[in-house]
Amino acid sequence: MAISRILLITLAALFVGACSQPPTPYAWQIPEGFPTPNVPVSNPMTEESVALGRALFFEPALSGNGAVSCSTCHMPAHAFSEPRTHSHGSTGDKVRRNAMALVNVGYNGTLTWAHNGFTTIEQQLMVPLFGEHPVEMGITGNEEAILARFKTDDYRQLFAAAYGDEAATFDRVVKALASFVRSLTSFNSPFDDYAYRQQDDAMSESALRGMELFFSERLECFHCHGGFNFTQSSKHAFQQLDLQPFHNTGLYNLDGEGAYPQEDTGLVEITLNAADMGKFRAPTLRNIELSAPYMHDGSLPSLDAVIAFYAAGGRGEGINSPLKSPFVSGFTLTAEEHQDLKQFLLSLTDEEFVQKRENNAPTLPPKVAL
Amino acid sequence: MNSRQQLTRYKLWFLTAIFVLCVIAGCTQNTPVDANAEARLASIKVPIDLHYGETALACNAFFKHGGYEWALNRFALFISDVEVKLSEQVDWRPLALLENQWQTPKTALIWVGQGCDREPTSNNYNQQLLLGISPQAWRNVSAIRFSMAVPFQENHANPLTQPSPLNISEMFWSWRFGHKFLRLDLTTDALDERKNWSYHLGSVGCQSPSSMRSPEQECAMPNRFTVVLTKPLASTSLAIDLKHLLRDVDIAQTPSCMFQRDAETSCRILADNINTPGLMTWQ
Repeated sequence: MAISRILLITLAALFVGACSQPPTPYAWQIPEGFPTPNVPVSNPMTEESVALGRALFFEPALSGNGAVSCSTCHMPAHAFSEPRTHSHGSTGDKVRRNAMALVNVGYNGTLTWAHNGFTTIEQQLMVPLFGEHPVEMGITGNEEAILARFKTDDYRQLFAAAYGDEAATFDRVVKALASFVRSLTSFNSPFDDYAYRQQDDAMSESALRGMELFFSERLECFHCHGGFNFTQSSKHAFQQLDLQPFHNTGLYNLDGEGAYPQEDTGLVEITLNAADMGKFRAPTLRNIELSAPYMHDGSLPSLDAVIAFYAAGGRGEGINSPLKSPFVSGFTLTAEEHQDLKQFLLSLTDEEFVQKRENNAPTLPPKVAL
Repeated sequence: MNSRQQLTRYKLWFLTAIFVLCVIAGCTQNTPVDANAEARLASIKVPIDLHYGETALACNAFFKHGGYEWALNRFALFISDVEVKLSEQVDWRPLALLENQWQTPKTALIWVGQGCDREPTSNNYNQQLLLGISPQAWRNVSAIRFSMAVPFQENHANPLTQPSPLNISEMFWSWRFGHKFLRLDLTTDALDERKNWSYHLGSVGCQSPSSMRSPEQECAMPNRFTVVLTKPLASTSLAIDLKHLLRDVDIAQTPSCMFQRDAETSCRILADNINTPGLMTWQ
């Protein structure tokens, strides 16, 4: 009888242990036909981790001095970018680059403007959270104080639902934030209705003419802003290859050899390969209307300025940069063609993306202990 | 313990074992089946070497053409509909390609260019064909035939749902025109000004309501070139010779051939060169 009892207990333990359900798998809000992003095995997408990440993303208590949240520089109304040339950290430090939009970043082969080593959102997040030069969120040195702020009933429940127990740790903070950012998918622009849902009347005549220009060899836009995400390198369920997504667009040429301002020289800072001077990642054009100003340093204020920049084949001496991409060779547009191209870019705006409740701050934010 | 009790205990052990197996089977993920495994056992790897005359070209390569030194930024080529002829037979037999990131069962992409020496992995260059044929049968192959293109159906299909490598955006023009079948991007700093020159070959004269709509009929100029090569017994790899491709094309003086202007005279010469034997040879 004793053996039978042991067996029964073993069976029960096995059944519970092997089949206990983790948090709810995340239901992607992705239209039929589009691939799902790659997700690290160590950080599976769950409804609960995304919900926790959303709360943390909009929570100023996550910064050292409580002055800023992730959403201070990544504002939903601006496609999670900031309408300033460059951002400021929680303590006032200048961040040298323009805040990138967070649109379909789960598909990016690499993250940030110019780094070929950040291949997951989890890695990239460490920079704004813990970086000290410049200080952005300012967590370094304030770790314990910040984690203590999340010892409230609200956050205990959120952490327990996402990760099985109530402990708030930075590993979980990073994973939850990455899950939320990965959930920010946008596929409901008029262009998507036209191209992928075959709705012939989804775009204006002008935008359709602009689309033909965009995909022409004459303008060559699509060489770097290609694929369903309008960026060169997208990794996802159907595509695991990582091709070269960094380009010098001829924005600067300080010495005739293609030099960029010392403050920000692009990919060369990481690779130390001189040919990578001034190379930055081609960002997605989805919701590009909302993420002005443009380029890595926010030095182009509007889409009109961007179109004029590429029509000129660069800016100032940058036009003659020996390091400039062969596909930024310039083109001539009539005034009507300029407007058509702009209308096409405006057709990439997904209103639902910026208005969606799940992409905005919780109406009743979880309480923190201050 | 009597024999009846012993029997009951055996039954209990047996049922337990079955239950444990069921629990484990039901709660662990199935090991994915490698659909290529069988074919890989019977496959042939054909290396593809890129040359300019006697100069071998690989990552970040340079070669001299028309008196100027040119940097090879990108060479990419789609190969599809591979067929072989066995010795003493007259019929062509279709060959499947092994599926991987660079090959679908019908189409492969050869990919050489800058940057591929930084991370020498299969993720950023591909210079081989993996053919689904046994080494034994391969020895009996007397000729090989393939198209330097993407087949019409796949060429204009929804790029979202296409498998790799047909969803690489750098090789895709639009739904109307489909893919670039061949892509050659060169740069020289030997002239007064930096000069970029490109050859992007694909179907043109395609009729559809917009660039995001597929044509229903083949394009006026499909530009699908077929390569037919007899295969010597000792041959192991295929060579592509850019000197043959660029013969009589003054790339320093003439504009690129990207099928956007009527006056691209170089396009005609390049097409003639592709159609003349010598672009691809066995080594």
